[in-house]
Formats: sequence, C-alpha cells, structure tokens
Amino acid sequence: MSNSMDKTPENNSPDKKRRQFIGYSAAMAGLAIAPGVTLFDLAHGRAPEEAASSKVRWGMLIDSGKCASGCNDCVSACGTENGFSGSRETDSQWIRKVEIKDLRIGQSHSLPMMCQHCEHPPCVDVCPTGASFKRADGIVLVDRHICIGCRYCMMACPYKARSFVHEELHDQNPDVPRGKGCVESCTLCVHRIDRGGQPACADACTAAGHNAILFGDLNDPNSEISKRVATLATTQVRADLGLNVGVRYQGI
Amino acid sequence: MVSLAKLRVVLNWQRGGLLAALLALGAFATASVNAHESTPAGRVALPVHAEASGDKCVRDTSYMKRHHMDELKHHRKETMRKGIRTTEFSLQGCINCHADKKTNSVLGKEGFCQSCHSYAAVKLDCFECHASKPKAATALSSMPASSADTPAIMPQQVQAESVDLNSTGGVRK
Repeated sequence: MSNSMDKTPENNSPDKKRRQFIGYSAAMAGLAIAPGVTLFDLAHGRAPEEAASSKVRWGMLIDSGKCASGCNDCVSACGTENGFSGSRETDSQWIRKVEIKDLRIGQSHSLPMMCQHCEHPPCVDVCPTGASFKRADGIVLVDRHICIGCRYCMMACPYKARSFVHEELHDQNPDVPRGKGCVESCTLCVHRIDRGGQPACADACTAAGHNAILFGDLNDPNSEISKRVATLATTQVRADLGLNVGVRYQGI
Repeated sequence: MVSLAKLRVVLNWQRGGLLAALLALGAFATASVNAHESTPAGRVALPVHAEASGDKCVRDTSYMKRHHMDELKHHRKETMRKGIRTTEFSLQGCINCHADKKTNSVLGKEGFCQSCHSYAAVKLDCFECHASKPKAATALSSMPASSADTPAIMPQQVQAESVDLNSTGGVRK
C-alpha cells in the first residue's frame, strides 16, 4: 500500500521533480549571489567600464565635536595622497583646518574646510573653457587638459577651496596628475572612489580613531551618512547661497 | 707535384678572399652599430625601441604608431568626465609596460616616449602633469624622499582662520 502511495503520480511526477530542482537551484543561486551583492554594496564599487552615475551623490559629514583642535591628520593624509608636502610656500592646499569661535560665549570649534562639492558650483558657472565641471556623481573637478589657469573659479568659490599651481612639479602620484599652470582643488580622492575606496582624509581620520569624517552616498536613504543627515541637525556652510553642498557639518 | 708559383697564386687568392670577408664584416658591424644607437653624421638620432616588459601591446605596432594619440585622448575624456577607468588605452598602462629598464621611465634620451617624439619633432606634454614612471616604483622612490623633507609640522597646515558663521552668531575678530 505504502509502495503504491509512493508511486502515485502526485509524489513522483516528473513535473514535481523538475519544480524541486528548479527551487533548489534558485536557492543555490541566491546563496551564491547574496555575498557578492553585499560586498558590492559595502565597497560601493563600479565596474571599471561603468560611468559614474547621477543615482549616486557623494558627500561627507564632518562632526566638529569629534574633530580635535590642533589635529592635522586629514590635512597631512591629503598631502601624502595627492603629492604636496606643504613644505613650499607655493604648494597647493586642498584641505585646511579652520578654528571658529563664538566670541560672546567663548565656544570654539575645529573643522576641516575643503571643496564642498556643490550641487550648483559657482566655479563651474564662471569657467570660460569648461574645464571646471561636475561629474554625474556630484564630484566637482578640474579638467587640467582644458584649464587655462585664468583663476576665475578661485575668485568665484565662496569657500576659498581652490589653489593654483605656480611651479613645475615632479614625481607626481600616477593616480593624481598635477602640473604647473592649472587650478586644482579637492577631488574627493576620485581615483580612490572609482576603485571603491573613500577619500584619504576620511581614512586617516578613522585610522586615528577620531571618526569625525563620514563619507558616503547622500542619495542612498540606507547609507549611514543619509541616516545621520536625516536625523541630526547638520549645517551647510553658507547655506544662504543655495549651493546645496555635498560636505555637511554637524555641531557648528 | 705542385709548383711553387702555383702555390703562391692560390695563397694570394685566399688571402684576398679573407681580406674581402673581413672588410665586409667590418662594414656590416659599423652599419648595425649606427642603426642601433648613434647618430649618422648630421642626422637626428633614431628612436630607441627597447623591449617592453609586457607580452603584447593592446594593438599591433602599425596601428599604435598612427593612432596612440587618438586612443589616449579618447580614453582621457572617458576617464576624466565619466570616471571610466578601463586599462586598455590608459596612459598608466603604456608606462607600466614601456618604462625603460634602466631609468624606469618613458622619458630620457632612450625613453620609449621621448626618443620617438624627439625624432618626430612632436612636443610631448603629457608628463608635465602625469607621472612618467610606473606606479609601484614611483611610490617606492618618492616615499622616503617626501617623508625626509617634510617637516614635522607643515607651515601651511597650522594656519587657522577665524570665520564668522551666521548660525553661531560669531563676530569676526
């Protein structure tokens, strides 16, 4: 009787076996893909042949409460990464530490100031050659192949974020080409981002244990930076200009 | 029996042959030396094509000779504007393979890029900004130098600014 039950078409039909097989293989495929997908999300990497997308907007959130006065780790990391030591008077400055103080109550804050990667960048508006541009993912860059070094963008920037290269340079980092006669500024370490990394300053701040710089995608509602921007009181420096900057500050 | 006169004739002929062979060899050697390294009198130095370290170029030599500049320019736009970082026509890829084994650079008298550009009298301005050495080697050679000549406190970093922010009601000093 039991034998006959086992052999009923219901249990042993080829259709059911096929369905089970399909179910198992789907589960296996899910297992195989899931870790890959997770890694992909964590490293936010793109394939090298994939262009930067406007679905992403890179930004940083700087917690001035954690940024120690006198600490220069982000500034020196930027110099090491991008090839300026600060030892020459004419060296570029992509990031600088700023101390702000409310004289009435004596409250002071320390924070790094760099290119704010505006959504509506004034430097791009004024550039006569189109060298200054905003990439699809919100990073504001200078195309040195086209830059004629007029420095109009330096005048237009409300954050004093850009520098002009006055002298010939040698032994550049192969990932960061820089040369005399061009304006330059923080690139948000675009070469690192394209490989799935984060800017050198953010890395250095984390490595030193301050965790004052948080880098991430402002367009992704699940990213840490978006959650914090959504829940905490964060400030855009010179918000009155309506530039919608990508670098936000917390605690100032 | 071979007569003395006959022997002398044969020897002379052989000596003549040997002399001719030596002369020919000498001329050939001189010619090849000229072609390889030095300048034929009054001429521009021929470009040096040292062995590249990779197996095979991304395209054949005749294509690269005529179109490397177009490919590089196309790639530069893709990378700069769109963030596409494929390696096929990247300048870094060229440098990694073609850097001279002695100088570790594509520049210099025998450098892959510079020797040919001098021969063709075409200005080469990539390397005013781009590194002329492969990535790892540059990092190694510049690391100790930069750490040695970097003062403990960098003068430009210690400058602090006073900024007034509307939100905190701060007053400019």
